[in-house]
Amino acid sequence: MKKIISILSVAALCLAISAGAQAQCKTFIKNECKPKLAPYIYNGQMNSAVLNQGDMAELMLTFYSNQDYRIVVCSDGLGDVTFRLLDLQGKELFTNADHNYTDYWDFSTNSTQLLTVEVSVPENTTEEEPKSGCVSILVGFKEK
Amino acid sequence: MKLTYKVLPLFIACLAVACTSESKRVKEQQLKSALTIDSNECEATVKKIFFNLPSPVEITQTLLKTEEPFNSDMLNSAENLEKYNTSSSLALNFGVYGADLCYCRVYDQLQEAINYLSVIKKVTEKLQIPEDEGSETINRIEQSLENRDSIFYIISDTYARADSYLKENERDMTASLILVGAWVEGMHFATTLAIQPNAKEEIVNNIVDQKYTVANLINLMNTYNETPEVAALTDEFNKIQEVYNSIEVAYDKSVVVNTDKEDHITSIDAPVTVKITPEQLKELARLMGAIRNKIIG
Repeated sequence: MKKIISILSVAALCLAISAGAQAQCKTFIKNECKPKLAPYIYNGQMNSAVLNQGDMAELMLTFYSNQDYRIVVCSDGLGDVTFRLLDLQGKELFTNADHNYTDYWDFSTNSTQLLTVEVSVPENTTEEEPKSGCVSILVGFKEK
Repeated sequence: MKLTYKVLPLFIACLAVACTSESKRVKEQQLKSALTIDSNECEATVKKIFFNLPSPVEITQTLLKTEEPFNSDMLNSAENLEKYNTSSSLALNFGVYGADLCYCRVYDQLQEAINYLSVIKKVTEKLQIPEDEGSETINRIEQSLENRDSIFYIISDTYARADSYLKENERDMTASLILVGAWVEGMHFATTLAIQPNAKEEIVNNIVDQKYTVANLINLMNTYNETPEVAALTDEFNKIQEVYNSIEVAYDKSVVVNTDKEDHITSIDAPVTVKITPEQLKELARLMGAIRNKIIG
């Protein structure tokens, strides 16, 4: 019985920590990321995850030719997060590594395309415990 | 011992939640393998893949750049709301009504827009989305109906809050179905207009452009195809994708990318030539009509 109670306590603690991290992530997105979309209209989809150092996330997105787009990539305490825009053949069209790891960039295409936004959290190069944190990819659009 | 019987199911439920997340992660990795053309060693570290669909505002803005007159017959009747009692049907029609609201906004039909606002309020209540995440924002729309420019921002905000609330509460499927419903309704408007005599070329091109969104939509829905209602819709979307696959699209491989560092903007010039036949367009319109009828009942 004691064993079950211990296991349950650990499970409950894990769930509480996970819920806490998600709530923290939401606050972070609302306060730090969403304002950077202005004057673009937010597409309303919350693409966020708690990532570890060395992890990657991807967003598949259709870029319509009659809209302009803003991509905002926010991370909470994970260092210089790289974001790249790739076409379906994997060709790199943009990387923020060339622009001082800026957390937003605007895009315009003359033909509608399915593109990938690839986000990479830098590896842990220290001897400290690997960090994890909230990473969010937000998309804004506006008519051309 | 009695306590054991009470706590064990709870523990199993917790494990089930954990396993579901794991299974979702595995599926995402499988999807990633299917989508990636050039495999490389980084693939193993992709932890999360998101598939975004156009929001109700974006889809209506994209598809309805036309001067066709307002046609209320194309909208889903508010009276149909009573038919929707499952979470899936409510979510899909939340999207449908959102696109209808945007359609009314495009044509400045204020009274119709108010009616759809009221329907959307009821849908959010039925979906148990708390007022501060949905309905309260809708009140702001009612106050801003005269201010056309702000309405699209407020509608977007409404859907963003609902999306955020649903995802936080492990209701990702509901969040996704809202967008699927909006897309279907947007496509229903566009294909209905496109098969009319003297339809504008622009609207036909906009329909062809949805080729990529169909691929994204099917990938997204495959994540939830254990749900019979979703699986049934996925079959219909596969038929739509077959038509899109038969449309001739020629890519010019000379992609030109121009980046303006000062203005923080990158322009991508990738010429594409598309040839869609009237038969393909009619077939798309027929399939979209069928799938919409399934959704709106």
